[in-house]
Amino acid sequence: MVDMFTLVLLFLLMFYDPLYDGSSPIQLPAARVQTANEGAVGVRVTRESIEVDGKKVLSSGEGAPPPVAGSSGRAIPALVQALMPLVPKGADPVPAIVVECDKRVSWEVLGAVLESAAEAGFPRYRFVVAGE
Amino acid sequence: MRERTIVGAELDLTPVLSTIVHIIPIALIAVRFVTLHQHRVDQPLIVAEEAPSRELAAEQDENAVVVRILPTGFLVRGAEAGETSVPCVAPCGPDDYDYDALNALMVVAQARHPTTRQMVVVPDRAVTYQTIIGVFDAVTESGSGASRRPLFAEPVLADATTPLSATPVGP
Repeated sequence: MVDMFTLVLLFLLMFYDPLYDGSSPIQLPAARVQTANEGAVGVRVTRESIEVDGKKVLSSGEGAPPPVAGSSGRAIPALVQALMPLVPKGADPVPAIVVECDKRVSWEVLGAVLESAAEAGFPRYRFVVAGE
Repeated sequence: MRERTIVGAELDLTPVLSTIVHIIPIALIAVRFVTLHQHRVDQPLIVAEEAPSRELAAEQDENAVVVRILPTGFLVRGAEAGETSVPCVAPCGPDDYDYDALNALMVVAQARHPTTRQMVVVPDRAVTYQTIIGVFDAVTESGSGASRRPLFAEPVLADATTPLSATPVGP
């Protein structure tokens, strides 16, 4: 019994990754900020895909950026559609959206994601970072 | 006389288990769990449609603290007279930007604009998220530990296609 639990514990420790809870790998940037992380509606932006609450909204081939149409500053229609039902009705102020973004993602993609969120009804953001 | 052999005897695993039990606390102490924090951006991304009138824009333009993130470094307005260039060390990857120099400039800018908590960050299209977060770190606070003090706690992200004069500023 004891050795079984020991093996299970070792197995979990080997494969435990505190930063990974979705379907796509992500590398968060490190930051000095001390503000605690709060849960909310989450958008995950990786180098290959954009997910809303764990569901892929946009994805591309391996290594290619998500196909954000147009230039920076343009909302992504599929992302706006995915976020709109998640805006809580009657909430004042509307809770912030939590953005988990890979540190290698460019502003061209991130800017489009933020503008999509604003258009869907989430005017405030929280950028998740890894504490130092 | 023939030696007697015990058939079906259990292996004594106690030393092995004891070793593993000692290893577990060591592994638990050694493992470094990552803590997650947040950078808050309470203002919406500025879009071109929200640009104020020309008179208001000109007035705001003089007071705004703006950091442009270019592929070659930072361009800071609001800390000194005119614009201050903070070039990065070649080849200008995310770790090559001079965040310390930017932080020093933000201390000067905060002294010039003591009542405002807002400033504007304008990233170039190719700039990575890591660099933006590095800028947020540099503009939101200075110092470390007990000497940590807030600077511009409410940074605003603006698109490079938007005229800088469209950026909101604090009182």
